[in-house]
Amino acid sequence: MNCNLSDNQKSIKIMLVGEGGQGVQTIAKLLAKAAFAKDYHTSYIPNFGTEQRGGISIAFLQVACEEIVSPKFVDPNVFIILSSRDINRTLRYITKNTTVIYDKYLVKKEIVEKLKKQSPTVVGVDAFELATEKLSERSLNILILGILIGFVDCTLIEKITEIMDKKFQKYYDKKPELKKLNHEALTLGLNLTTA
Amino acid sequence: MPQKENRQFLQGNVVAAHAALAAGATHFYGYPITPSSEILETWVNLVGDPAKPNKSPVTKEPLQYLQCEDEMTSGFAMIGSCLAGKKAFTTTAGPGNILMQDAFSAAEALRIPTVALIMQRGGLSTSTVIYSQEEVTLTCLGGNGEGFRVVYSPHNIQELYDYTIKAFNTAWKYRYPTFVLGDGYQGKMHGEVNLHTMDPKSYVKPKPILLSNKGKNKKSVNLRNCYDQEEEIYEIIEKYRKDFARDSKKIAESESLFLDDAESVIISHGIVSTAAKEAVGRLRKHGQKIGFWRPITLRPIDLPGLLKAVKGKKEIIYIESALGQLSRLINDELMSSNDNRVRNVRIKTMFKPALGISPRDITDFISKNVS
Amino acid sequence: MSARRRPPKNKSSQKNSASNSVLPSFPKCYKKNSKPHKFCPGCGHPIVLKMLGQAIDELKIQNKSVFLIDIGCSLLAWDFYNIDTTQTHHGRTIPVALGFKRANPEAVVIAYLGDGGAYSIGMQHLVHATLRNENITTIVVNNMNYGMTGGQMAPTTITEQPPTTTAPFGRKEKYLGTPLKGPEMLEKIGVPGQYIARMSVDVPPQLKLTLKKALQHQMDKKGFSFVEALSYCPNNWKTNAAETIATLQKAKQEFPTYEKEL
Repeated sequence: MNCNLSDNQKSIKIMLVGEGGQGVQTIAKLLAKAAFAKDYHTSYIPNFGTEQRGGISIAFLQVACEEIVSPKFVDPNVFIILSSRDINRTLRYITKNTTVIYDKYLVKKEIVEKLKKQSPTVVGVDAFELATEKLSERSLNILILGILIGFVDCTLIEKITEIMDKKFQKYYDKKPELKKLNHEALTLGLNLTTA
Repeated sequence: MPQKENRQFLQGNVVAAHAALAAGATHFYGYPITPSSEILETWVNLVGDPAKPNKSPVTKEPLQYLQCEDEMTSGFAMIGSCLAGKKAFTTTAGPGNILMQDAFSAAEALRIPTVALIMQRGGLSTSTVIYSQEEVTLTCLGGNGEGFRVVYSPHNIQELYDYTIKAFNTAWKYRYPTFVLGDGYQGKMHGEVNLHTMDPKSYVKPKPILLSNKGKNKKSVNLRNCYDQEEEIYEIIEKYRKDFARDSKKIAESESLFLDDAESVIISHGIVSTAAKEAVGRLRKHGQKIGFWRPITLRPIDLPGLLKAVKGKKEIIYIESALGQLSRLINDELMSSNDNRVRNVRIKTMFKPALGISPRDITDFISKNVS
Repeated sequence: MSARRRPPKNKSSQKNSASNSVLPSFPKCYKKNSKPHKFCPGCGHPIVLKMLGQAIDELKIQNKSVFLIDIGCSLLAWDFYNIDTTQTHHGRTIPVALGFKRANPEAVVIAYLGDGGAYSIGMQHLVHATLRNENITTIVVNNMNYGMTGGQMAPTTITEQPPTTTAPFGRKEKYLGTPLKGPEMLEKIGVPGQYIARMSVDVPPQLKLTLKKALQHQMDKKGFSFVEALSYCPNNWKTNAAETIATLQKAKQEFPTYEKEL
C-alpha cells in the first residue's frame, strides 16, 4: 500500500461540523470512498439530529495507513466548522494539537474567540464568499472537500473527481455547467490549503 | 472459515442486509426507524421488483419483503414465516424495539427461530436517532419472559456481517429468538468489510414448524401458547431453563486480551470495546498492567471466559454508553460464583449513557482513576 | 371465568356415538381427545368452530390448513382440531397468518379471533391486511363483549344488550362511543374481489356456507376473505336461553347479515 498522507502522518482524524443541508455528510463520504479506493484504511461516522435539514450535522472521518480499531474519536487532527450552531457540543473535541478551520462568513466572531481558546492553530477561510462569488452557494461543500484533500493526500483529487462525477451524473445531465462548477470548486479549495 | 473474499467500503446497515442475504434469509418484515432504516431499504433493493424478485443465493427461492403497518406486524409476520419454515428476519431500534418485544416474547415462548437486527439509538424514549448502548436490557431480557434468547454484540462492521450470518444459523440450530445488537454508529457508519460467502458447512437448513408433516394420518402440531395451571407453565419454563443452560455452553462467546499479567480488566461490549481495545494497547505501551474482556454474546454470557478474566484481579472497570446495563448482566453472573477471588474484585465504572466513547476518553479515565 | 366441563365420556361411548349416528357426529377434522371442549355452556364459539370444521371437511383441506387463534376465548380452541395450530394475542394473529401465507402460499391459512383483537387492540392489522389484500381468511367472532376477561365493554357492545362490567349503565354512546361495524368498515376500504360477510350463529347452515365461501375464496387465490360471526355470550351477558336469543335478535338489527364480493 502506498501511504502518502500529508506531513508523513500514519493516520488523520477529521471532524466536520456543519448543519443539515450543507452537504457535510456528502463530502465526508466522498473523501472516505476515495481514500478506501486508494487502499487507505478508512472509517466514517455521520452524526446528526432528527431534522432532515437545518440541525447540527457532524462527520467523524479517519484515514489511516494502518487498521482502524475505533471509529469514534475525541481528538481530531483537523476540525472544520461551517456553522455557529450548537458550538458547545463540539468545542470539547478540539485539542491543542487540532488544526481548526472555520468559515469567516458562516461562523460568528464570538465563536471564533471560543475556538481560539481551545487551540493555537485556528485559521479562517473565505470558502463561502469564494463559492458564492466565483461559483455558486451550492459549491460550498465541494470547495471544503478540496480543502480537506489538502489535509489528507493531494493525490486523492483524481479519485475524488471520478467518484464525485459518477455520483452527480444525473444532476450534470440536467445542468451540464454543474460539472465544471464542481471541478473548479475542488481546485479552488485545494489551492486554499496548499497556499 | 471465511469463504470468497469481497472487500468493500460500505455502510453498516447495508452490510447487515447483505449478511442476511448471504445467510440464506428469504423473508423480511420491517418498519422504518432511524438508525436502522437502511437495512430495510437495502433489502428492498436486493429483492428488486416484487413482480419478478431476485433469488436467494443460498436457497434459490425468490426473496420477499413487506413494509408493515407497525413493529408488531413486523415481528409477528416474521414469526408466521418462520413457522412455515423460512428464514425470516426483521430490524428495529428504540421505541420500535419496545413494540417488537411483544413478538419476541411470543417467539421466546414458542421457541421460534427468529432473527432481529437492532440498531440502538439514544434512550430514554424517543430521544436521539444517533447512538447508545441503552437497549441491552430490553434486547436481552425484554418482554414478559426470562431471556431465553441469544444476543450477539458485534464490535465492528466486519463482525456485524459475520455475526449476522451466524445469528441465522444459531437461531435455527437451537430454536431461540436471536438478535444482533448493533448501534447507531455501527448502522450509519461506513467502514471496511469483507462480504465473504457463508461457509456451507455452517449452514443450518430451516424446517417448517407447522405443516411439517403432510402425511395422510398425520398428528397435528398444536403449538401451545396459553396454559391453565401455574404448574403447567412452570414445567415448561424449567425445561427451557435447562435447555438454555445446556445450549449456552455451545453458544456463548467472548474475547480477551492481555489477561495473564493484568491487574485491572476493562469490560465493555459492542463498539465501545473497539475504543477499549485501542486504549488498552496504548496503556500497555506505557507499562500499565491492564487487560481487556468483552462478551460477544450478551445472552448467554460466556461464564467460564468471564471467570477466567476476573479471577484474582484487583479490579474490573466497566465502560458503557449506558448507565450500567452491561454491568448488571455481568455482576449477576459474578455474584453466582462462590469463589472469593471473583467476589472480592473491586468494581469501577465509566458510564456515558447515549454518548460515544473514544480511546482517549478511556485512557484519560484510567490515568485518573486506576493506579 | 371458568370453563365448566362435562364429565369426559369413556372411549366406547364415543366410538358408539361416532358409528351409530344417534348423536350428531363430530367433523372429521376434530381432535377427539380434546373434547369435550373448553368453552362455557351456551357459548357461540363451538357453533362457529363446528361449522368451520364441517367446511374444512367438505373442502378436504384438513392437512393443508393452519388454524391461528388469538388471545381471549378463541384461544380455548388451541387443540380443538387435528389441524396445525398456534396462538398469539391482541390481533397479531393476522400478521402471523399473513407471514405464514407469504412463506407457504399453498397452505390454507385461517386467522380466528374475537372482536377485541380484530376491532380494537389489533385493528391496524385488519385494516392493512385488507388494504394489501392478503390472501388469508379472517374469522372474527363478535359476541359484543370481552368474554375471557370477565365481560367488559367491547368495541362492538351495543346499547340494547345487558350491561357490561365496564359500562354498567349500558353503553351510552354519548359517553362511551359508537359500536364498530366490521364488514361495513372494510367495505369502504376494501379491494375489488374481496369476500366480506357477516352471519350469525343462530343459523348454522348459512354460517357454514359463508365460511366455506371464504375458504374457497382463499383457495382460489382471490385475496382477502373475511367473516364476522355474530355470536352470544350468555355466561357474561348473564342471560338465560330465551334472553340470549332475544338479545341476539336485537343485535342483528345493529349487525345485520351481510355478504359482498367487493
